[in-house]
Amino acid sequence: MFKNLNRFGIFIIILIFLGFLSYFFLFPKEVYSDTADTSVEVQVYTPAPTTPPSGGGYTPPSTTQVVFTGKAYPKSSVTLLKDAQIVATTIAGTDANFQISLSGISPGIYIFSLYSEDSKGNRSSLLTFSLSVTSGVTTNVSGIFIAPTIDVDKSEVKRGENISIFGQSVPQSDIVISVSSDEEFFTKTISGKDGIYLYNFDTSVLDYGSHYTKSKAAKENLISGFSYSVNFQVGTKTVLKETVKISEEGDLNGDKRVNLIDFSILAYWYQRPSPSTTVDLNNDGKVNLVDFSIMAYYWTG
Amino acid sequence: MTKIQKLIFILLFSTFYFLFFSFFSTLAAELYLDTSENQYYIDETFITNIRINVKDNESINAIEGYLKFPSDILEVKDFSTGNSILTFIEEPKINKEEGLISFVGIIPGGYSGRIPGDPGQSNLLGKIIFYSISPGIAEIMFEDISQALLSDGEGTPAELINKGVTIEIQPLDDINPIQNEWQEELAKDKIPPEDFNPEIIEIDGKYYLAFSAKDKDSGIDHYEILEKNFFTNISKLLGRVKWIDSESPYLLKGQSLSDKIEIKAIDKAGNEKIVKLQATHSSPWYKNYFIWAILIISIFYLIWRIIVKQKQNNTRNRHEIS
Repeated sequence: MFKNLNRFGIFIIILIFLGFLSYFFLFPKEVYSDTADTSVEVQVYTPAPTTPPSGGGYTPPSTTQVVFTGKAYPKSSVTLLKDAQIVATTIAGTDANFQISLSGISPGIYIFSLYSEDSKGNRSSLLTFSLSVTSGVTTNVSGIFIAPTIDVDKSEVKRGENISIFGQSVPQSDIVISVSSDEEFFTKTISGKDGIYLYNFDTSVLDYGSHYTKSKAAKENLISGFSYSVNFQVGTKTVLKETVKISEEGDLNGDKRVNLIDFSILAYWYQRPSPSTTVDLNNDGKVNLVDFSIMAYYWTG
Repeated sequence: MTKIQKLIFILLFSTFYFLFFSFFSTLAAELYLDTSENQYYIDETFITNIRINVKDNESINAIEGYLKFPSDILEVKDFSTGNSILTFIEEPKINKEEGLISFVGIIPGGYSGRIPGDPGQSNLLGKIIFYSISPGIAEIMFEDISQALLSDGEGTPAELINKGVTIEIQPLDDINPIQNEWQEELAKDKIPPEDFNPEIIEIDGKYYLAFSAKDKDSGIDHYEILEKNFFTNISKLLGRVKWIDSESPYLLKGQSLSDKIEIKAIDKAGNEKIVKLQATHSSPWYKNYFIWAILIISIFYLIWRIIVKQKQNNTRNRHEIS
């Protein structure tokens, strides 16, 4: 059979071989994964029906409850949002573990978000997920790992000098720091017993211009999402950064929160002519979906 | 080229065609529709769910969807936002003549997909309630201008693939009973909308009321507002309470913020939730109409009493003289 193979036949065989290589090694097996790439997982617990005492009696109805368990930072405040509005807060333990229970809610689909605030008052990015809550059962959401906070000590750094990248996460966790411009650099450090991490990044590998950095944490089998990004410039001089919290773009009424009030103000200006610069979050002269997306990113509830 | 070679070439080309487009489709989020069945009869009402999937390591926080449907075959009865993961920027729009539907909203914090173990399909954006008016093949499709934005702080557009749905509408059948999926859902909805917290906000020097309620069943149908002041209290005594249909943000009539405000959220099944808002400013006495009304009535009463007494005195004096 192979004696009669001509050039065309060889070409076909090579293509088949490349096809199998591509399918099994380069392309993911599923076209879509409708599940999030996260350590968060859900377990639904249905309480056993209670037997009423003989002769009849009252059997209390089962409560619909959601319990959130995860890690933030040692002694940090953890805020829970339900459908974009604050419903509960708690304080994490010294080990950064926390638990929040929500009872008596209606069954249905919810968007839950969690964030924390570190010892310097910096806020983490939101960890958000949708969840179907079933009537009369307890839904346990575990594996929540809130992203680290992050900041830098310089708004501009002289090329070749170090810039300090720091923040807070779970104690003794692996912190992956990403520094980006055209090329992305990754580096690792370990947070201390208080969850604080610090890394001095050598900027000699960066080009002049604008860059940003973000971080994520890993401990045991849990991985957090990425933190907010913090910008800095690489230039010819060093300028220390003033104490400024992560940009609260979207805080239209100046109450240091980004919530329904700001959303309503922005909704008023949606597709109206000549919006003020306060509401035009990306300064393109109009209020459209992009401005709402920026506000949604910095949401605090 | 021999027949076998041609066959191999066609098979290989088809394989690579499929793999090529599969590769690029894994790089995109997916906006899609689903129905419980893909065949209905005339006069039936069915629900089309709008859903979203996102690709790995991606988070989406803003979605704008535009849909087209054949208005000669289908009629839109309603758009339900119940159980939607979106916070809608404005009410979804329906153009029945042109066969167009649009919706726009955000997901604060971003949506990264369902989490493992989630017992339900929690990627719902909304439900369109269709009524079939004539037989035929109805294609309900997303327009290419639909978009989803990444949760990256910059509103970067996400790569998006849209998947519509094709429904076959068959002529009336005397055997099968006419289905009304929406009526069945409304009949099951006995729960009022959830509690909500309205806020008074200032825009361009004027006071507005901002509010947003959620309903986990049939969805919010509309809101009504009652601003309580002296005049509305009188109306209430006369049995004429006037609630006003409204949307958020709502321009308050009482700009002095001395009125008490009630906001009613009504879902599609008619269940209501009323929330009351206390006045944020206590107004000085001279701005209270009720006090002025009492004062004016009192003054007129005093004057009337003085006149009556004067007349009585005059009459007594005339009697004494005579």
